Amino acid sequence: MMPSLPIWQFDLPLLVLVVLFAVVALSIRNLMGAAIVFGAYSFMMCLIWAGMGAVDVAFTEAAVGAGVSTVFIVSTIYNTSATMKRRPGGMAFKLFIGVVVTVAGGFLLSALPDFPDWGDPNSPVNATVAPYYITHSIPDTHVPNLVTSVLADYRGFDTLLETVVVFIACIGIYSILRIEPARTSIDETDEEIAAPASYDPTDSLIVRQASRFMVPFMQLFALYVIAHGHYSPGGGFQGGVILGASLILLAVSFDLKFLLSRWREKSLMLLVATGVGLYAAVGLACLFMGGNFLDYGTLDAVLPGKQDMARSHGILLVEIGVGITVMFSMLAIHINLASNGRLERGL
Amino acid sequence: MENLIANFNYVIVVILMMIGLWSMLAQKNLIKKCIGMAIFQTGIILFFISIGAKRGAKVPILTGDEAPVVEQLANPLTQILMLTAIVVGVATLGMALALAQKIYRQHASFDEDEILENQRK
Amino acid sequence: MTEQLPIIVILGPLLAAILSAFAAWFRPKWSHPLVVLGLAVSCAAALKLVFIVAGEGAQNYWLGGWGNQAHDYVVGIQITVDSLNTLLLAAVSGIALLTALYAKRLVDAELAGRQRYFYALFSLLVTGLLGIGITGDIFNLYVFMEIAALSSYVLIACGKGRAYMAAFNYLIMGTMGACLYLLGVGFIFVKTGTLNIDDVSTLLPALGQAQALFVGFVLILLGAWAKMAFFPFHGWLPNAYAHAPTASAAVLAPLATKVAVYAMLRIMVTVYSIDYILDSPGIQSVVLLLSSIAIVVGSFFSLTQTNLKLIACYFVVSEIGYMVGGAWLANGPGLTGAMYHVVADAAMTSALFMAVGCIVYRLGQAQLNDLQGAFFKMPVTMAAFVVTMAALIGVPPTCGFFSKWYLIQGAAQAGVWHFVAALLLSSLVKAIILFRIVEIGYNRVPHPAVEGNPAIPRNEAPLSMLIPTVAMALGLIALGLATSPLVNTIISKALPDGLAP
Repeated sequence: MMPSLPIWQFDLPLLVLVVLFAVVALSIRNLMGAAIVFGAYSFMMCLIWAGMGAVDVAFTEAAVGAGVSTVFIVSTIYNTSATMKRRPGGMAFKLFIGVVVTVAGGFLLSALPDFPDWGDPNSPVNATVAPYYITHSIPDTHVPNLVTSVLADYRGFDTLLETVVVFIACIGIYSILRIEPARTSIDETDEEIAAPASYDPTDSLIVRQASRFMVPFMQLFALYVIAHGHYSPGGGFQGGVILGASLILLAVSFDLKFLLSRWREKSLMLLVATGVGLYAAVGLACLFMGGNFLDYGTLDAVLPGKQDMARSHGILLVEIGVGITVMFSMLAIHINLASNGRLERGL
Repeated sequence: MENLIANFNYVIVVILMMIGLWSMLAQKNLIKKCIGMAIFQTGIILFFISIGAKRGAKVPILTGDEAPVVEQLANPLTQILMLTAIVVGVATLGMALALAQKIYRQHASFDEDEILENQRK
Repeated sequence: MTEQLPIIVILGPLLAAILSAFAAWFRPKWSHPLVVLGLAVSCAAALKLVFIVAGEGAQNYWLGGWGNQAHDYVVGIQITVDSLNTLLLAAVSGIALLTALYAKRLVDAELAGRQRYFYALFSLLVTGLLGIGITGDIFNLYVFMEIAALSSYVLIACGKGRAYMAAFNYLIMGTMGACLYLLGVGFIFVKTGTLNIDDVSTLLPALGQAQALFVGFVLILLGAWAKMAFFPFHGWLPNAYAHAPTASAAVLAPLATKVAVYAMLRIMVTVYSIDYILDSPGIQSVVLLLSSIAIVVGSFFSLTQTNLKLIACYFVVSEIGYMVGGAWLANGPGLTGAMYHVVADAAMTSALFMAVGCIVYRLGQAQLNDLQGAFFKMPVTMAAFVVTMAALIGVPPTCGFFSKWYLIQGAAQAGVWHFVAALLLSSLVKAIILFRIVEIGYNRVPHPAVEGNPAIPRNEAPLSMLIPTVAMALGLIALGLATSPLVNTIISKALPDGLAP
């Protein structure tokens, strides 16, 4: 009996590597380097999660954590500065925080003997509510990907709110950063800093042609990810992020002007609201059909099929809503971060 | 000791969170604080995924027509909780970066001490 | 139709926010009325629920119809309105509605050209706060917490100058709090395997004093404390709220911290139990001591400030100490006081920030020395201000008197005399500040009614701001007069068995 072995041997080195990457990302003095190492850290995390059977989470982390987050950090640094000033002193404070954090860590570890063994299928987490989803997903919702059915149906309210979070981030970042050209007098306290002019992103023919070639395939794949989320890993979030990333790629390889000539800012911001609106409207329709909010089963009067198929179709509708919101908010956040809110030029 | 090895994941989680928390509170550079925040969040995500892991389980997607066996499929509940947490994390990160950029526009610096000195003037 | 009321409380502001985000690009003028309409619907539903809960008891609602019919445990997400949160929901939606009406003129003046999404974010903030209040699922609470937090960061960052750094620090602190909370949820989840509050509370007693549950409890407490700016996590609050636009501060200061206190109460009373707290007496005395320190620190700093906004912010810090302390007295009067004070303090802080907002709107800033002659320039506003201060000091028959009465009773019963002393000290400090303001605002200028003195022109705040302010101040007295029916029919039912009188 070797109950103490981890479930996947490869985990041990990966876990050690993750800690190593975290330390490097935080100790490196060049911020651009830190951003790149942080991206690598996120990819490492994806591998660990995929190893534990959480493919949807790994997929999302690859798209969101390693992909879009890194792009956000890089575009912020592009607009500002990548160097850190070395300032003496402050060691006492850092040590003090270090002691506090260590005490907190020790406190957390004190609960360790209480935990069920890693990978125990009979632990409370795996044996209380979770089995219901595994055995009932097909009869209830006709969706083989359990993550999709739990995400969009059993806990669909969480997902609606999560879409709202993305929506808030988008309109929030717009409110914070955007400087509309019509506004003549800019806040006096805002010291103007010219965007760096040394780098002209439009001059790389290879990058442009390569991305021109890649973008349609990315978008096709993303649509597949959204539409096939019932049967395979993926869904609105992952597909939406990939769609957003394809447009971000266009913005990076050509320039913002090129992108904005195809997608006006107004339509971007309206589409962000449309996605959440679609999700909420599906929920409201259930309310008007006599069920509870988000009870897609009551939609069988208007959608084809019986209750389980109505739920399956309802899930598809809300996933599309999620996809729209996520796609356009990722893009809107990127263009604001990359151009310092001016939408003229930027990364 | 055996318990420690069996729960190696949790130890890593605690270490990651300590690193992230320390960086959020003690680092002076705003971007580093943001990265620390993201590391703290991924630590928590790793924690949830670890408690939902099952030895020898498959990806939670049903195939074929045979009835699903609970022990053979990974736990979908912890996974969707963490999907939510990841998305919330990126929203927070974006917001933090936007604020950092705005601060940089005012003070031409990411250094917390320097910004506070500037503000006192 | 009444069974749908709980979700309508949430949907009102949520849908209003989405529609207002559309209107922002087509008909910017519609943004404000849409949000007011959404909040009005929400407020009406919440008020109706108060009567339903008082009559019939708790109301449960299952999103997507996934209740516990199919399984031993709830498989979906549940929202609950019971005697612990119904008053809070009514207070939050009512105060938000009044503040939305009040904020229009301030937003037009302070945020000209930048208010495209202000009302949408305002409405989303209220959605998040109402959600924290109504949800019956500990993970769902985290998501609502983040909705409220993200929108409040933006509402604060709409200000100028120092607001960005204040918002950034708040973001770091708030994210830390939310993450600690989420981790605490994880520790509970490890031992119980469910996230539904009712199911967790039935499973927990059998698990006894497991260390994982204790760690989870402490983590959730720390998370809630960071969110509510409880000592020693209070550093972010005064900066954030004082540098925020006045309209944002008027909605954030009364509601955001109170809702975090409610979350703590919910975890203490429903998820864990009062017995659990009484079984760990070491932590109880530490928290009581921290509460007293919070009150003293808040009072001390409010004395040293010269800016009315900052003074009001430090009042918030000290009032948090009242509620946390009251809850941790863990006896009948203490808990009653804490639960009642959550509502009363939301109303008092709201009235205070509204009055301060009126002063800022007319006088441009809120340094104490600028208040000379304020009582003659804006008599109605200053009258509302004095009533509010009287409530904060604890003068009967305002609501502040009754909450303090319960708190002192509870502290005396538990024998925690330093808490009694801190409460009295805080009242004293507030009285001193009131007298100082009266001295500056009334006595320092020659009285215009006396012949020969220069007349002071009336410069009252506009009616759209004045009416909500006066309504809120009168509400403080009304709430005080309604204390005994509220406590007898609702709050006493929220107390755990054995503690109810």
